Amino acid sequence: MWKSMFYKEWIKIRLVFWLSVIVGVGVTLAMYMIIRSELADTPVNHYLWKIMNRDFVFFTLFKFLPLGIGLLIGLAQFIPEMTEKRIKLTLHLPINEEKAGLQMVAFGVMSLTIIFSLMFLVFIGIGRYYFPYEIIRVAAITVAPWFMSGFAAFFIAGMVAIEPIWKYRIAYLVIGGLFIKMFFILWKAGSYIYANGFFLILVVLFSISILFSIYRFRKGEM
Amino acid sequence: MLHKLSRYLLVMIAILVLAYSVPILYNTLFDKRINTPHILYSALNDDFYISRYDEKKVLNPVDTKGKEYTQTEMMEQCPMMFATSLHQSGLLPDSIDGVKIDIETWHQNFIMYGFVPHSLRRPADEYRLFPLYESTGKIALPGDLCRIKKRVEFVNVQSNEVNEEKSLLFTKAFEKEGFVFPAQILAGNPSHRKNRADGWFITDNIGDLFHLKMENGQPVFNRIEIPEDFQIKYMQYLEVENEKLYCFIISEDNRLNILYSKDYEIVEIPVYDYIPEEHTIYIMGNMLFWMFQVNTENSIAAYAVDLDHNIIDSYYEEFQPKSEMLIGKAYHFLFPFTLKLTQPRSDPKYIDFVKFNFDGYSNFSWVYLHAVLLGVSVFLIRKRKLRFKNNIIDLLLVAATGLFGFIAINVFQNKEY
Repeated sequence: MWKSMFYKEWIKIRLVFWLSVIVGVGVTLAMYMIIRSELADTPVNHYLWKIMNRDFVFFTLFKFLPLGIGLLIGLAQFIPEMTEKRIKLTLHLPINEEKAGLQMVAFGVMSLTIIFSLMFLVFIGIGRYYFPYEIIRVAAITVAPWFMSGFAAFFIAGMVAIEPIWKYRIAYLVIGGLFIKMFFILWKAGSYIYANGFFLILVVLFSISILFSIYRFRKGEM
Repeated sequence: MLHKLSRYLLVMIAILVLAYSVPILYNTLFDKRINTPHILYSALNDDFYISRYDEKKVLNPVDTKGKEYTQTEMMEQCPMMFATSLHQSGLLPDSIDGVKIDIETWHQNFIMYGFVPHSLRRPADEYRLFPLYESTGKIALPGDLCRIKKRVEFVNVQSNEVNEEKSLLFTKAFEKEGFVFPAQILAGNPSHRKNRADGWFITDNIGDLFHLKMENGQPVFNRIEIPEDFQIKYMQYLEVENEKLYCFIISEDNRLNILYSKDYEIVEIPVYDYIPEEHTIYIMGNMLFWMFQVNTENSIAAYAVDLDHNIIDSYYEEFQPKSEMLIGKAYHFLFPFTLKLTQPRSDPKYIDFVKFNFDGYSNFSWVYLHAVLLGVSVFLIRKRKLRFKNNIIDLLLVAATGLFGFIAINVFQNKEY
C-alpha cells in the first residue's frame, strides 16, 4: 500500500520536486559564486572580519527559499486533492483514513528532507572550503530555523487546503502565518542558538496537524 | 484517536503563537515610553543634577534640593561632562579642587560606557575566533584568526589551514602558565582601527584570568592574580586613552570591578544593587571622580565615587513602573502570561537572541476575564448541544490560558460525531 500511495503522490509533485532541487541547489551555488567574486575584491580577512564584527550575513539569498519550497510542495500535493474533492477517493480506499493521511504527509516530508539535505550539503560543503569551521557552525545554526519553516509551511499548506470551510481556512492561515513569522524574528547570525531545539519540537508536534482537517472533511463538514 | 491528539497539538501551538503575537499587537497599539531621568554629578558643587524629559515640554534640570537651572547653567556646573563645548566657549575652569584642568588631559581621562543587559552576550560571541594583533609596530588586520579550544590554533584565512608552527609556539606559552583548555570568556577589541593593541583577556576552563599579547610574533602571556572566590561572569575590554585600565569585570555575585593595567590590580566598585541581566549601568569616569548610574524598571540610582573607590555621594529616585500604570494593569488583566521570543524594546534582555521566555501569572488580575470566558465557553457548549464530558480539557485550557485558549479552541473546534 505504501508503494502505490507514494507513486500517486510522486506523480503529483515530480515536476515541482525537480524544480525545487534545481532552484534550491542553484541558488546555493549562485550565492557562492557571488561570494567568490566578492572575495576577489575584498581580502578574506576583511571579509571574515565583517562577518564576525559587523553582523554581516553572507547567506541572506538563502533565506526564504526553504519556506517557498515547502509551500510549493504542499500546494502541489494537496491542491489536486481538493479540486473536485478527489481526496474522497483516497479516503474511501480500504485502508485506515488516518494512515492514508499520514502516508501522504510522510511522503511530502521525505521529499522535502531530500531537497533540503541537498541544499544543506552544498551550503556547508562549499562554505567549509572558503571559511573556518566556526563561521560555518554559526551559519548552520542560523539556517536551521529557515529549513524548519519550510516544513511548517508544508504542514500548514496541507491543513489549509484540506479544510472544507473557508472561514476556518482563513483562521488557520492567520495562525499559521504568525507561526511562520516566529522563525524569522531576528536577522543576526547565531540568534536562534537557544531556540532551535524548541522550534524543532514544535514542528514535529505540528506534523500530524493535517489529520484534523482530514477528519473534518471526512465527517462532511461544509 | 490520533485526530483528537492532532487537535490538541494544534490548540497548543495556537496558544503559543497567540501568547507571542497578541501581546505584541497590544504593545504596538498602546505601549508608552517611560522617560528615565538623566543624572549628572558636578565636582564644582558636589551635587547631582537631574534632567527629566517630558513628551509635551522641555524641562529644566534641577539639583537634589529642587533648584532649577537652565541648560547652559547646568553645563557650566558640570565641566567634566561638557568639557569640549565649555572649552570652545572658553568657560572651562583652570582647576577644580586643586587639580589642573585642560582639555587634553580631560580627553585622555574621559570614559563613558554602559552595560545594557543585551550587550553582555551577543550572537557574534558564538564565533569564538579572534584576530591577534601585533602589539609592536603598525596595526594591520592579520591574515590569520586565533581559536583556543584543545590548544591554541591560528587559522590562515587564505588557505583555511592551521599554521602549525605558530600554534605550537603559542600553545607552549599557554601551557607554561598553567592555562586549562578550552578558553571561556574572550575580551578584547577586534577592530583594526585603533592606536594600540592590548591583546586579549581570556579566562580558562577553571575560571582563571590571563592576558595574551603578541610582540614581534612572540607570545606574551601572563597570568592575572584574581581575588579568592572571585568568579568572572562578564568581562568587557575598554580601550582607554590614558592606558590606565583594561577591563570592566562583572563577577558571579554581580559586583562591578575594574581591572587596572598597573600590576593587573582588580578593584571592586561600591555599587551593590546592580543585577546585570536586568538593569542597565552607565559608567562615567574622568580625572576627578567616577559616576555610576543604575537604571531599573522603576528606579534610578546614581553614585559618585572618588578615585580611591569610596562613595562620595549617592542619589536615588523611584517612579511608577509600567505594571502599575493603566496600560500595565490592562495588560495583566487581559493576558495571564506571555511568550517572549525577544524582549520588547523597553526591556532589552536578550534582544539579539531568540529564546522561549514564559512570563506571567505574577498576580491574579487575569481571574476576572478567565471567569467570563469560561462562562461564554460553557454557554457555547450548551448552545451547540455538546456533552460536557468531551469538553473538560477545553474548559481547563480556557481556565488556565484565558484569551489565548479561548481563541484557540474556537478556531480548532471540538466536534462530536
